[in-house]
Amino acid sequence: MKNELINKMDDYMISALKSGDSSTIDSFLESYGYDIEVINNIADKSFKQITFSLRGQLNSQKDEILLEKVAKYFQDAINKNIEKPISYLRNLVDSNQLAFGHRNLEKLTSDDIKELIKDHNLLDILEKLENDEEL
Amino acid sequence: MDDKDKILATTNELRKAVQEVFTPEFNKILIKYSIYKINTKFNIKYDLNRGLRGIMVEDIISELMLSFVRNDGGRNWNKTEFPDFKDQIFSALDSQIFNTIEKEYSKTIQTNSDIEKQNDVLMEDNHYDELLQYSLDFLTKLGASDDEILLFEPYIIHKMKRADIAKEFGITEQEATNIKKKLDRKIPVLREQFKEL
Repeated sequence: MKNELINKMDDYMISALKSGDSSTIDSFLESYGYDIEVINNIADKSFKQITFSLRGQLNSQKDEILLEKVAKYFQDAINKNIEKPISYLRNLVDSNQLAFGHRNLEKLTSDDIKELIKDHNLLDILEKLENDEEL
Repeated sequence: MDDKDKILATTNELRKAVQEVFTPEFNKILIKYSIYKINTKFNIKYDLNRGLRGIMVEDIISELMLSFVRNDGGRNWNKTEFPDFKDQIFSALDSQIFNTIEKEYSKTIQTNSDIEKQNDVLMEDNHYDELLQYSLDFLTKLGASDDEILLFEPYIIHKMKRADIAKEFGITEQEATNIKKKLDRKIPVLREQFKEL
């Protein structure tokens, strides 16, 4: 029974904390010798580090998705023989002769295309080619 | 519940939820929650400088949040079990803390449930009424007012809603909140007193 009551008090403190009211947990932590200001400082500092890592992770995923999209766009253009994207890609292959030689565009794999375009501004490429397509 | 009945969040939903939920205030809550759990569930005095043998709660939280946005087999959000994403985070944090402690302290920890089992044997003659009276007397010693004493059982033990308490005792919700705030400060002291019994 004693432990049931302790559990009830724990549940009460946890549910208050989860709903955003930390005053009871703060009192508890203070009674255990913790300095709430120090804990808050640790939280502020770690928040910056965690959001930085999260942003990096989210951005790299966005880049991957975009890279996939642009590579697919070029592959479709090759298959459908669309002039502007093919010409753009041809220029990229020509300026990367060391890696790609005089390779036939039809023989480029999706990974080859990604390798060719990965260091370019993908949004710019996509926008430019889509605009050309609309003209 | 079968796995097939589970509704999992899509990658985009998960990313959006992480960005919406993870705020400076929520990070404070997660850190306090972790320290509280380590102290009360595992009876380990968490050291703010040294962590758990070098593993800091802020690192556990960082690892946890990143695991929700990782592509390669990270954590997911079970929307069926946890419609509120924050509850999914708390549940995952519980496992993360448990796993860390189990790994680091497996031979030495005595969890609260172990202690509870021992204490239950020692305290089996204690009855609810006696313990309640003990709580009320102790709260009085701590300077609790008659109103705080009155609210202790329905509010803390029976988890009555503030609106219901206000109705039951013929006070406004604001008055109930004010009494609760004063009482809140005494609960951790009472909890520790109970542990000493």
